[in-house]
Amino acid sequence: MKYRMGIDVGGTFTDFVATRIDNGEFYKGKTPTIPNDEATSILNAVKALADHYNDQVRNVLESTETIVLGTTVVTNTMLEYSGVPTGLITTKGFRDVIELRRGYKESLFDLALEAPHPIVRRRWRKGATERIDYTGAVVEPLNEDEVRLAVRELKAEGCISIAVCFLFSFVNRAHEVRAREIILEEYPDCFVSLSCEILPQIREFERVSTTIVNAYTSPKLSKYLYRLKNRLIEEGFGGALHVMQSNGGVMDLDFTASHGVEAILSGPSGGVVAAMRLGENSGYRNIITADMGGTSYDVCLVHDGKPEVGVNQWISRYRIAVPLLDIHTIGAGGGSIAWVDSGGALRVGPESAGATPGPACYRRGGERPTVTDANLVLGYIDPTRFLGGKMTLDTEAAKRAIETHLAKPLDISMLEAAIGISRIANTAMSNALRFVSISRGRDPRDYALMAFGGAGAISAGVQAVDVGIKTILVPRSASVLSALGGLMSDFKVSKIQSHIVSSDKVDLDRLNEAFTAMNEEAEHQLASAGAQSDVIVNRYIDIRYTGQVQEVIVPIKSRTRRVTSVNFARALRDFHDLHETLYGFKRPDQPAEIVTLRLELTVLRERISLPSKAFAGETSDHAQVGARQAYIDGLGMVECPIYEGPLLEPGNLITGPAVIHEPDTTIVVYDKQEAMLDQHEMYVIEVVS
Amino acid sequence: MSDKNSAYEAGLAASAESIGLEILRHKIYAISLEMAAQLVNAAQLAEINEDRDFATGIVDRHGNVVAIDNPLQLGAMTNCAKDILNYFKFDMKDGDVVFSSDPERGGTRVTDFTLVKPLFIDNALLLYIVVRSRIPDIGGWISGSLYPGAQEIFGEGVPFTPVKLHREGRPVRDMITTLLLNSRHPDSIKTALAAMLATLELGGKRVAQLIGSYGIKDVTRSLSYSLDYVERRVRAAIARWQEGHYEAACTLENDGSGGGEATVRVKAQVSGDQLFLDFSASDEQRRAFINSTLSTTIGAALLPVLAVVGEDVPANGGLLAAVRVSCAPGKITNAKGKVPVGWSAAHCGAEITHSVVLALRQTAGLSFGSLTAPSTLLFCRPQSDRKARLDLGVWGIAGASASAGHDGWGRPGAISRSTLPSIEEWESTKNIRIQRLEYAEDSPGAGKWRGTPAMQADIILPPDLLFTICREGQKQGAAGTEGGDAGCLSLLDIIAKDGTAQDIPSAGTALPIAGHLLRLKISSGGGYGPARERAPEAVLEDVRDGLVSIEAAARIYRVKVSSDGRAIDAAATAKLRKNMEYRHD
Repeated sequence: MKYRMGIDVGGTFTDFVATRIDNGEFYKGKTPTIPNDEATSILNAVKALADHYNDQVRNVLESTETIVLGTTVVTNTMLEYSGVPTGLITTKGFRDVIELRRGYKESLFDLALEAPHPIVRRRWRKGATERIDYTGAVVEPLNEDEVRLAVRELKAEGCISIAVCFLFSFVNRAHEVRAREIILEEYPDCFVSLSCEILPQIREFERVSTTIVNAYTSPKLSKYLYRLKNRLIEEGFGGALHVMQSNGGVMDLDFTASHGVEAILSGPSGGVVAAMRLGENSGYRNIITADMGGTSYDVCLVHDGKPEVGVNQWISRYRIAVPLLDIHTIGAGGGSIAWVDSGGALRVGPESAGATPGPACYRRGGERPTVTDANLVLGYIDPTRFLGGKMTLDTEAAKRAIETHLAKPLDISMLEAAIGISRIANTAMSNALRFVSISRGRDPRDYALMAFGGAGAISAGVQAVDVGIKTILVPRSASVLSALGGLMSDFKVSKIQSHIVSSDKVDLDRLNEAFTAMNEEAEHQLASAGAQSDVIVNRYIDIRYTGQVQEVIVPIKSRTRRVTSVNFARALRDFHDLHETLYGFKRPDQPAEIVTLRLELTVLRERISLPSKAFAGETSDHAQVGARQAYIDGLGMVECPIYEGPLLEPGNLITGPAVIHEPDTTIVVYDKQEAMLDQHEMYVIEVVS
Repeated sequence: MSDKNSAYEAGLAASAESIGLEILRHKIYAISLEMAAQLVNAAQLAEINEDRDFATGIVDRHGNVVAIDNPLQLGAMTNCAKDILNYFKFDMKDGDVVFSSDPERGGTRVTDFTLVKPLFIDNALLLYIVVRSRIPDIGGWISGSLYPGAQEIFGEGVPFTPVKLHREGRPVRDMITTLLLNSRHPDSIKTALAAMLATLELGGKRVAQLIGSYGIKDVTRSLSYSLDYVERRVRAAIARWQEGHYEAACTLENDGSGGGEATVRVKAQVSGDQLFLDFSASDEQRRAFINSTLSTTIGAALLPVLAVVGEDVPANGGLLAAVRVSCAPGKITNAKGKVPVGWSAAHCGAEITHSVVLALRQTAGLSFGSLTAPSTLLFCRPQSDRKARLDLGVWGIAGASASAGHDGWGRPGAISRSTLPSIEEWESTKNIRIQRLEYAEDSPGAGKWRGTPAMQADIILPPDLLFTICREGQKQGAAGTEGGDAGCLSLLDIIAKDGTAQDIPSAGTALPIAGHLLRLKISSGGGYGPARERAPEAVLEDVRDGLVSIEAAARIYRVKVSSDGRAIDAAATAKLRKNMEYRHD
């Protein structure tokens, strides 16, 4: 037998999904993540799979065709600021651009807010005389001696990675390319990141920030990936090892090792891709994905089968401007702590109890009430079945925490306080759903909400009502969706290139030349990654009205590789319409400004066949295993039937209020809601708004 | 439902209500933020999308600001809205949009446009949606309405008393035409108005959606709940301060019109949980553009209070109930009678803020240093083009002062709402080259915690430019605190190709100054605590990072760093610091 595996290493658990190529059988599972040791966590996941099939790890690895990883190495490196010693060579006179941050501060009035941790210390930021102007003309040649001296100094200081970012390198990369040659002459082992390759886009702060994050994280990621690969080979693995990218695609190790910044959302993007594919399989191309974990709630809008692309991401206070899936994160999760502020208002978060000490009900030392404690008290979670029964929760401890920290100070009952926690947390999550839809010109009523993560399906029914969503989707594999995404993702490379010109002065030959160059580079990278089937090309132009700072990403609808005048005119018309949708007005009489070209090359991987079962009858009585009190908005604490998810069959109907227990996921079906398992292992919950 | 559950439900009413109102408070605030985001994305003006010199908000029927994205404009939005509501007390209709820009009618400067739109639900007036924004020009002597030589407000531009731009949903074309005719850049005004109107539309739509979900009764109640909540939080903070009467003053160096210094004086009274700030002892108003309207004064005076209560407490009318700001008319802090006010957001706004910092330092136990820094007004234009205006002052980047326990970083909080332009985008559109934008060595205000270093900008100038200038910070940089040193002085040099520097006056309009290179350096942040108490390791780090020289480390911080700049000479440092103690004893 042969396997393909998707593995996602999270903060608490390592999730995995394996599919057998011979019969399409799926197996999913979770193993605890070993802190600071992703490789062992991954091997433990392989062992869990081997145990399931009563086989040896070596046999399983020898039979595994592909492993796709979702990794948190880059994210954690930035969160912990544990990257490698990194230097920067930049245009002389501009080494503080990264500290100036275009004047941005996260808070106007928090005067105790520390400066961002310098991932490149000022002493390691070196200036070199050179200058290119905005047309690409060389105003001052590169002073190679200064570059050489800077490299020697950085080497002597122990830097093992050097970023190079010169002004206007996105129009003329010659100086950066020459700087790399000098660096490698002086320091052959040095890891070099050029801004003209990482982000060939105007705006020096965004470019230098993205480039130094790449320089700071990639060597560590590279070391980890190659060690992992060697360890897997030692254990018998002979297949291909791929890594989930932040753009929702996968790439090989060599690409990933030199493009750490592209793997910053490696895990979450897997979840979005799986949600997108599963949604499509069940007939939904417009969905909002909502992943609720212990500390965060990640949402992403998928329109017409394509996730939105993000343009304004920050990670650990550093700007990342490479194309990423537009995953909007808020600090609301099961571990979010509820508290009373000095104005007497109940608040939830942003402080989180995390996994340790965790919510009060974990009995790990946490005493303050959290969203999970409220979910337990309100009857949504079965204390004996948490994490598939691996952990028993203490309801009394949860009640005590809510009573002491909230109910008494607010002079309300413990239950009222628990309901309050739930309502306020749900409001924050509904606001996140609104942010990715309504505030971007999308009507949430046109989208289904796909809830995943351990606790996502507990409150999705409330959020859907709040924002007017009519359908909720909960895949049976909700708890391992990021890992599943690895199996479902295609090879994908995203390129961007600044191309600034007024729409009435566009030279289509130049525009096509730029797209062709981007295409060739991306094709080369895909070929190196072993992506060998047909290539799908998507092109976009970022357009704005003169004077604006925010562009609209407009797809080019073209059947050929060349952008024709008709294609371009249509893109312009689409821009005006999109602008009106997003911002309430358009000015079709005014020339627009082309700012950036985007290109996305996708090579499809072999589709895994998703299991499908025939419909059975409507009754779900056979799966009802009991009842318990749960709080349902509008009804209060009521007796809710409990259903054993694995006993349900496609076509079975469950009318709310009810609770369905899947091994790792709890689904609450609220009043005036109806759930049905479809033939693709997806719970489809219809909501009466 | 069981009896127990019935009891739960009965008891639930009160708490569910307050939690529901709290949820609505957040939702209403979120609407003001979404309006702001929409305005930034849609606008085609640097004043909006880079300077972020605007405010979006929701105002109740009485003119109280319930939610606002920009706390700096709380006073202005409140006073403008109240004036407009009063003016159209019996003539506000569904679909109307009222416009006002008169500094004497609750406004701030002639270039600050306020649009107010009433929201009617079922034929009843529920609230108002408000947008304020600075626009680039509305007449006056020079483009941009920042005219150091202005003797009266008409030198800065045309003020408009409240007028309807839209009447019952239809644009009032003659009024809009009049507005556009009074600007050198009518197209900019047109696009700004389009973005502002779209933002009002969005705000109204969102509130209507909220009412659709929660009902008019709950939304109406949440308005007063929001005001009460903020008032409660602010009063809780003030109640912890020492009761009493505190006075402070702050002087600006240059009023731009040759009148020299001007002093802002505040009398602060803490009574229980109420703070009164009275500026009536400030200097008399003058024919200079540093005068401030009461609205500007309120905004600037509230900054230190907001820094104390923290960003967790959003500014709204509740804040104004707990903190009363007043000033007798005819003072530089409450200008009347059509005197100019164009530069007031910078000066005397900074002096208003700093005087309150100094007063509150005596009672509120502030742990932060100066919130402001001197600003330099610096525009240029080609001799041949009166319409043109290039803001070079944008590269005059002040540093934040230190706080107890923290070195300063970035710009002072109060002005860090704006975004600095990208150098590459700026050069691409202006065709002027920036040669350097980097910290200057030995520039931070020294202290146990040091200020942000000064940013030095060198700009290559094209020939034949006329400069409009008003300088501040030539005698005193951003103030130091608790024994910390002040930030460095501001510098403005225009240097010829042969290296000679021209004399630059403190203020002037359309000055022909020849030169090849303009060098601009605004005050660094002030230090907090005595420099001799700074940890030697921190001084060494600054030396290694090129922010402090070895010589300054010894002279200012009394830390002896080895000649290669890599280590501390502990014995020599101990000796230096001991000598210092003797001297201070």
